[in-house]
Formats: sequence, structure tokens, C-alpha cells
Amino acid sequence: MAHKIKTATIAALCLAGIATFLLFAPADPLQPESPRTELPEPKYAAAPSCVGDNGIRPKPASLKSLPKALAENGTLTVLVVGSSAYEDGPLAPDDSYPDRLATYLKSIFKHEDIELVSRNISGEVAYDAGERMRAEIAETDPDLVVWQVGAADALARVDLQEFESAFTETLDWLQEHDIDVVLVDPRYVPELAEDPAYRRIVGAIWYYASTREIPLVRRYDMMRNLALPDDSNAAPPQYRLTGFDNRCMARKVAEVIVVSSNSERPDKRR
Amino acid sequence: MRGPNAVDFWRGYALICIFVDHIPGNPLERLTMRNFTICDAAELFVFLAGWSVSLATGGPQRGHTSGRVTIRFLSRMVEVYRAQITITAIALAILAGAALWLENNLYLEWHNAEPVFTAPVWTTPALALMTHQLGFFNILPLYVVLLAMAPLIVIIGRYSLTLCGLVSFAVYAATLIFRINLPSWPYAGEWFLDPFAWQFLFTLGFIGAELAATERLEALVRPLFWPAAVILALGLVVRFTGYSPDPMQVPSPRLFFLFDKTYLSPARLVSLIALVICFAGAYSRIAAFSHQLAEVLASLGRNSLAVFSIGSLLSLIGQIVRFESAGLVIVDLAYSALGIGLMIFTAWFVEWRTRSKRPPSQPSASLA
Repeated sequence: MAHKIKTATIAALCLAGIATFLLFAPADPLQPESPRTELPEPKYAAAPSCVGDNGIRPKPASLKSLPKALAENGTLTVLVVGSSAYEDGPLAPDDSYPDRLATYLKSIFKHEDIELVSRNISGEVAYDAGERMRAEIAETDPDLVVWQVGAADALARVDLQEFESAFTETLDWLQEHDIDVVLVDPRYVPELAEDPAYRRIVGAIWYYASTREIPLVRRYDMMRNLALPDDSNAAPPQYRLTGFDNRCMARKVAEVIVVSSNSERPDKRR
Repeated sequence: MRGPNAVDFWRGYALICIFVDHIPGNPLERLTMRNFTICDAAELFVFLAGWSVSLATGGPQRGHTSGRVTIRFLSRMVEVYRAQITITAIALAILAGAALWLENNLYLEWHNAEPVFTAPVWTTPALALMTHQLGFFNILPLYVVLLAMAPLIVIIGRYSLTLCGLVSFAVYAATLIFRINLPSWPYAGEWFLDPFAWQFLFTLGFIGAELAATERLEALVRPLFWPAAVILALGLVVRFTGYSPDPMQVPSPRLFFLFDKTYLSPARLVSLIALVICFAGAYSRIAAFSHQLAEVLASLGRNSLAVFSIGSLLSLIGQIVRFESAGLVIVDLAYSALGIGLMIFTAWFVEWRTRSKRPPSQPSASLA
């Protein structure tokens, strides 16, 4: 009798486990989800230095709090999330992307104090990164956040809905607290050019940036243009791609910040 | 080899949760303990490590001498450090191999690995110094520092448990107030798991074991059962509603009021203590219900360092498998089952090797 009860209990527990799993399991990724934004076919733009000079321009939109902070305090604190500065090492002190961004911003906003804080949240999907980012924001009190988002989620094959939910929750939170954000989408990787999940994540970032009028640095698009074979360029595409992140990212982010902050500023000194 | 016991059992459970949680996106991660409590398996693992410190040093009645305690933990620290360096090297090899043979350079950038490949002259000493840690490979560096602190904890604790708890709490509180942490290098930043904050949980584990050995713990804990149950229920509500305190709304020092993992905010710590209080008696019931389950999980816990090391590498491979299989649920499930099977095999293999090396009468290696 005791044995039967035990067997029945095990069976019931197994059934309950399966039911719980089925209840919480994400949609089968075999079922394709329609992309938020269809990514257009790439067009090559000649770009001897940084792509975008003669090709696609970063899409500007308006930053609301940053111009106010500049006008009122004369100080600008920028939190860069997703790529860390070297404290020391081969790229120190001025060559990493966050350091270069600081240099660009200081050369543009000459009359203001610029403080740039870099936080690397490596490998964390948007849900976890969002939580840590909020804590960092509370600690550093930035006027602007530059957020490289989506790569970890794309690599972890996080369900699109889950990504969108975590992503928009953080965007809502930033909006609630009047903190401007500039988004940077994942980098273009030739091996994943046709990967639907990767493209869906990029597409979702484009969609929310566009519908919420959030400035976006279209790194994916710019890098994709660079990756196209081109006889006029001496460097092979893969070197151009590496060069993009090293040389051009900071410039593109600075460009978006300037264009977006100028659009709302009554006093355009620059 | 010691028989199954509660500490090994729950440590085995924590190891499985860590393995599953370290494959982000894996559907099974929705079933691990972090979905039902504010804390996660890392807290349970560190608390039990602290508990084991007491057992490994003879307990309060037959405590080892200070010299023996110090040598023991220094030796264990070297062992854990060696494991950290080994699994980091293998993890880097896995990432490089994946980049080569799966023809995807993105793998080289995963989990903070990029500077190792682009700036090895700087990052190699940083890996040895543990100031550069790969993502998901940051529990053992914490454990190395905790083991370095362990002799001091044991010596003060054997003198006075109250003093030990107070000193540990003072360090914890100061850490949260002033955000004290070990720095990372050459990347700017700090350690993912702050040893100065986590030492408090480790110390609480040690104090708990010392009290249990002198049969003073039960009297302390019994009246706390229902408050602990209420805390667990609140944790469940927090997880199901997705609530997280808004860092901009909480008073300063903020870390006291958040759910911060790096600094082990009090909410996480209290949640773990509540969990321990409520489930303290569960092991005997589980063991009575299924002796095999108790034996298997306890074998994982008994060989925690080897199982954790293999589990960490299996998690990394799992992430690659998940990416390459485009996140197919069936692949996730099959891989998780295979991974847990390999962790069980690891535990068996380590014990088999130990048995074949030693005469049966000799006692097996103890926990910490």
C-alpha cells in the first residue's frame, strides 16, 4: 500500500512539474515571430574613415533633459553602459571607446564640465542589466545614459517578448526619471547576417527607438555597410569592422548626442 | 566518504541551480530557486560554505588550533584558486575554439573575454590576479578571498561568536555605506561579487553551524519559523509581481534598500536566512521520501569544487549550444539533462578516484 502511495505521489509530482513547465515555457522558437522592423537590404557607402560620412547618418531625435542640464548647471554627466573603459593597458588612457567619447564631448561642449562614467555589464541580458543599470544611475546621477543593448540577449537567444518587456521597462523607468538615453544597437557580425533571431532583436531596438523618439546609433547598419566587399578599400572588410568599433563608435555616439541635444536647445552656441 | 547529509544535499541542489541559471534563456531557469525568492543559489552556496568551515575545523567542542586552521584554509584557498585559473583557461579555450570552428568571431567577445584575446599582455596577469574575471566565472574568486578570511573568522568565532558576528556585520555595513569593493583591472570597475559584503553571509553560516553543534540553534530559530515563512511569502510575491525597489526612490545609503547582488543587499540576505529557517527540517523528509535523490544531490555537494568547476564549463558550452541551436526548447532540455548527468558523473568519478587511491579506513577529504 505504502509503495503504491509513493508511486502515485511521484507520478503526481512529475505531472505537476510538466504542467508548471508547460505553463511557464516560452513560445517555441521554431514558430517564427514577425519582426518589429524589417531590416532593409544593405547598400554600400564608400567610407574611407568612418562609415556614415557619405552614407547613412545616425538618426537624430530630441533629447529633453540634457539641454536643460547644460543650460542650468553647465555640467554634463554621461553614463556609458555596455562597454568598459580600460583603467590601464594597451588602450589607456584615451583610446578606448568611452575615453574617446569623453574626448569628443569635451571638444564639443567646451564651456561645460563633462564627466563620463563607464560601466561594463558583460554578458547580462536586458533584464539583469536593467536592474544593475538603475542602481548605477542612482549612484552616478547622470544626465544622459548611452546604452549598448541587445547583444547579450541575442547571443543568449532570449525570447523576443522577454527582451522587449525588460527593455521597455527600463526605457519607461528612464523616462519617468527624466533621464535621457541614447541607444546603441548590437554590432553587425557577418556570420549572423542572416540569423533571424539576431535581426529580430536589432529590429526591436530600431522599432522602439523610432516609436519613442529615442536617439539611436545604428551601429549594426553602419557596420553592415562596411562589411560589403569593395575594391576601392585597401583593408579587407573584417579589419574595417574591427576598426569601426575602435575608431568610429565614439564619434558616432558624440554626433548623435550633439544633433539630438541641439534640436531642443533654445541657445545654439555650437 | 561521509554519508548523505543536509549540508551536502542543499549544496548539491545549489550547484544544479547555478548550472541551469548560468545558461541564460534556458527555459529551466524559470524553475530554479531565484524565481521564488529574492536571493539565488549563489547565496545558498556561500552560506553552506560558511557552515562547512565550522565542520572542517572540528566544531566548537573539538576545535583545531589556530595554526592548523590557518594552514588548512590557506591550503584550501590554493586549491580553489587553482580551480579558478584552470576553468578560466579552459573557458577561454572553449570560446576561442568556438570562434574558430563555428566561424563566429562574436564568441571572442563573450563574457569579458575580448581583452584576453586583444590585449593578452595586460590581461594575463589580470587573470592570475583575478582582477579580470570572465562573466559567470566570478564565484570562485569570491570564495578564494572568503577562504583567506576564514582563519580570522574561526579564531574570533571560537573566542566569541557574538564578537565574530558583530565584527563581520560592521565590515558588511561599512561596505554597503561606502561601497567598498575590490577593483577590476585593466578594465575599470569592480568585482561582480564583493567579498567584503559576502563575508557576512559566510560568517553567518559559520555561526549557524557552531550554534547547531552546541544545540543552541534550534531554540533560537524555532520562534522565527513563522516570521521567516512570511518573509518567504513576501519574496514569492516580489518575484511573481516582478517588483524591484526603485533606486531613485530609496533613501541613502541605497544599497541597504535594493536587491543588489554585488553588495548582497539585506533583502537578499534576509531572504536566504528565511529560506534556511523554513527548510532546515526538509532534508530528513526528502531523504525519507527518496533516498536515491538525497544520495545523488549529496554526492554533488560532497565534491562541490570539482562539480562546480565542471558545471561552470558545461554552462558555457550550454550557452554555445543554445546559440547554435537557435534556442530550441528540446535541445535546452536535452542539454540540461546531459549537463546534470555529467555533474553526477563528475562527483562519482572524484569519489571513485579517491577510493582507489586510499585505503578504505582512511577518512575522506572534508568540506571546506
